[in-house]
Amino acid sequence: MNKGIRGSVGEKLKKARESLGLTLKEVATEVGFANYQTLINIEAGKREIKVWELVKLARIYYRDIDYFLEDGRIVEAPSVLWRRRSSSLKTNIYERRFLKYCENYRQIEELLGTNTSKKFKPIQCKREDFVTFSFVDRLAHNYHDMLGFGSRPACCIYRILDESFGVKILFLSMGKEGSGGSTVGDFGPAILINADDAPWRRNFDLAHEFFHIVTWGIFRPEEIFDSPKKGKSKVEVWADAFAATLLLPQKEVLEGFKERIKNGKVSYFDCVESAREFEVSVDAFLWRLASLGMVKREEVERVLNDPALKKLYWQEKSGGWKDTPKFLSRYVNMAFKCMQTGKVSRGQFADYMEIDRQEIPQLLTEYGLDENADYEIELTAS
Amino acid sequence: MKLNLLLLDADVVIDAHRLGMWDKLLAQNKVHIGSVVLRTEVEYYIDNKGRRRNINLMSQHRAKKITELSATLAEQRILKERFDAVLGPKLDPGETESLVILERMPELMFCTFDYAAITAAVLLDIGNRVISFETVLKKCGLSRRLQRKHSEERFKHIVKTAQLMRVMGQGLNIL
Repeated sequence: MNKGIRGSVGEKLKKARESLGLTLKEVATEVGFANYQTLINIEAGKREIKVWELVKLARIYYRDIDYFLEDGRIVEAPSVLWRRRSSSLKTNIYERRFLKYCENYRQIEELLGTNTSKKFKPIQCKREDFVTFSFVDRLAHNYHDMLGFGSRPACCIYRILDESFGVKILFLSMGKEGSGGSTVGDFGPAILINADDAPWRRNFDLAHEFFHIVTWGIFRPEEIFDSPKKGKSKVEVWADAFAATLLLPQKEVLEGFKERIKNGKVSYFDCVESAREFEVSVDAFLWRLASLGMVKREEVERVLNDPALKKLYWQEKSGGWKDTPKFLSRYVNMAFKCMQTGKVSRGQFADYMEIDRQEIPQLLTEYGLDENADYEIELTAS
Repeated sequence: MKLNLLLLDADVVIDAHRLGMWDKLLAQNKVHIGSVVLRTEVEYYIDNKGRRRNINLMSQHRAKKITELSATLAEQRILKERFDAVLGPKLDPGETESLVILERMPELMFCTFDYAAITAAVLLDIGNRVISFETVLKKCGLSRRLQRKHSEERFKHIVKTAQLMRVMGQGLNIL
């Protein structure tokens, strides 16, 4: 093998391993090398690497094999803004998977001749605009109208952001390692959501991260991240307010809430039911009522600390959301189209889906697709 | 007596196992498999009841029932560079390796039902050395109702489409 290729592959392998915080020993064991000296020699360009060994390493590092084969210097990956970044090494892996998904999505779009990143046209605003909550509120209103979220935004926000605004969305099962993140790169804007969170939490996180996407580059990182001393940063508070306004449109919330008021009171059950209608948490719903002046802030605090309320929606919190699909259907449909028209191989499709090729039929069934159907039949448009 | 010198794609190995035809296929052909497929892609198949069943190709390789063939990293890269980044088929490493091997060893026939791999072979002008899964099974005397993806009819359709691409100068980089 050409020593130049060997050296550049080795260098990229070392960088990929280190960026994930993995040790030589861990990786060598996973690949099946007799000892980690083999990996040291590969990374130093002293030992020829076999293709199948590179395939295994690329999988461990969540990289396309082409990344190692292609010429060129190592390009820094776009930074991911985590809502709460865990110190666990697993977070590095989630971040890498997220970025790989974004790269794959862009590749699929290129293969099909579409470019959704051009659809991303955020409303222009400046740092100086963010002084009061009313600006954030107006901004959310404007996005609500611009994107046509309707009366129940949570029902359609994922699809609209993905299909009409070019925001790539990925759901990863991350346990307690993090609740979400966002990034903007050559591939356009993208949001990562923790699939293990409850649906209302995910909806809120998506809307929260959407704020970061549309204000990308406006705030400095130190303005965004929470401080252990000062608590939640102002930008994070704005992001929460933005999310609440986006998911809970003023007119619909007020109309629905007023109907439920009897003698100046609303039952806890009605609050829970209203929150469920909008697919947000009871906390978010009550705080939205406070911001609309329908309930006093002290009352919201009191109610949220009342065990009787928690008891009412505890059952809601415990069930039925574990089977969140990792990908939205547009991504799967587009990748499937690439496979069915010979633009990508089955193995590549499986890689896009983060599954083994043996699992392709099962995954396609879940998304209502069938690789034995003829997708090339055409109709004549008039 | 062995009928064919076959190079098998990962999907073919998996589906031959799933359909219970692997042993006959192995008995009647001289089977070759690329290292990537052999060592990284084919560890199990899923049976009709959704259960995972192990495939131990390495033991068959050690028993000399299967011949392992490899491509180097440089060969892999050179082959990939021949395809247009957008209009050419995007292959996974196992298929790329198989095509490198196929170009190097003219006596082999490559059995695959992967649309992109068949297209790539046609574009490289070695499409006449690709054979459908249905044809291989028929040559072994194994007749069974197969899925559309395995059929000779679909295979021919893909070859025809790829030939058209080749004529129109699509899919390959102009060197």
